[in-house]
Amino acid sequence: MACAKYQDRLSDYIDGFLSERERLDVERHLRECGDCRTICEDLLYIRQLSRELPEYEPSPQLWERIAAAIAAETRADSHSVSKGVQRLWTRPIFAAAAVAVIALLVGALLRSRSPVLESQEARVSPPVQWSALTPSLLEIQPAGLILIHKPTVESEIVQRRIEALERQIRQRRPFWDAETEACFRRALETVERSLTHCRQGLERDPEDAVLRELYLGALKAKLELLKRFSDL
Amino acid sequence: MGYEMVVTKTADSFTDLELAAQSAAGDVAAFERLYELHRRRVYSLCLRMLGNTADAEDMTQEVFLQVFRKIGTFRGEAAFTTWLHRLVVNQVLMHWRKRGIRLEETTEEGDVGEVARPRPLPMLDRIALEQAIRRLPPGYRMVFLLHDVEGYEHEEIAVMLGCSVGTSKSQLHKARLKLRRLLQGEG
Repeated sequence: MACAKYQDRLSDYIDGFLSERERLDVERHLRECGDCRTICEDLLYIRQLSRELPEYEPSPQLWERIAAAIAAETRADSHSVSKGVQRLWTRPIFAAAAVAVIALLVGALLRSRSPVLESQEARVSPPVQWSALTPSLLEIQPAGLILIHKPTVESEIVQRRIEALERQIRQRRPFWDAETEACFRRALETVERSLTHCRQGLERDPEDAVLRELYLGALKAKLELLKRFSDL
Repeated sequence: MGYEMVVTKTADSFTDLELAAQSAAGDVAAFERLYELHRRRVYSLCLRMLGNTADAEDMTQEVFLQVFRKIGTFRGEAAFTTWLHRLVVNQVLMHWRKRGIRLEETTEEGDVGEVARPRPLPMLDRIALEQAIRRLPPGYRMVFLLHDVEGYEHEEIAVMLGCSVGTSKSQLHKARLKLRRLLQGEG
């Protein structure tokens, strides 16, 4: 009976939650009772061992899953907010024009790079936005934050989506009218020019972080273009 | 000719609060950094709570999605890790509720049942302890992990679980005694 009372207090005792009087009372009992002393030592041992348990590593793919889920949510949000704008974008002329603006911006950024600024630009580049997998005009941001993402992985994801959309467009393209065909061809040429510039630059310097970012931007512009025309 | 030294703050040197603010503004790199800093702890807690890697990864993903959705509400009043672990606890409780897993009656009573004549514990390894933790009833496991493994105070655990400090203390004590019995092979 006495032991049960003391055993109820053992966790509070080892965690230091007892008052001075209670602590002295428990210690007096522990000196006299081997059974309670054994339990107390075991609880201390379990507590100590628990604090030394290691941390485990999730699989490397988990971040990609999280990033993709967030991108999908962001896309859903932006769609619900701008349905009016979306309707406008479905018209080929607007879609082509908007994509061309993105591509031209990428091209302008490419041309504006000077050797003097190059070392600074390698550390400073546009922030990557959550809409990374759902390109929009908003993705071309002013410089200011440090680039810490993995554009290679992202580029591969975008590239895969481009290939899927290209297959879709190849089936639909024969049914386009002349205006749609002309808009698409002009916009695609602009984007491809930017992509070619980036590829050539990356062949010279594969480690150029800014070029990689611009290449990703151009890829996303192409993806956007294909998306807009894939349903026409 | 003068030289100007430019000091750039790298992502490694940002605090959780700064990274949270940048993430709330849409900076994916800042959020990825937050993920890198906290993924192991969140995943380990989920793994120990749920007992298998597939559920633990799904839970970790759901937790970080919640973090992303709510990051704008984090103002730094509490430590980011506390805020984060509160989300983990909520997600785990929800997960258990959906599967009909009920927590043990939460009580401040100290009764731990009849204690047989004690034998000292054998030398333990971590694997044995991990296995025993998995066999704890869910409510005991939750409090034990938060207190003895994660290092939270009973006051913090009480807030996370919506119970009293006394209940948290009582659950912890029962968890330790139950672990002791499991480690002795008494179940």
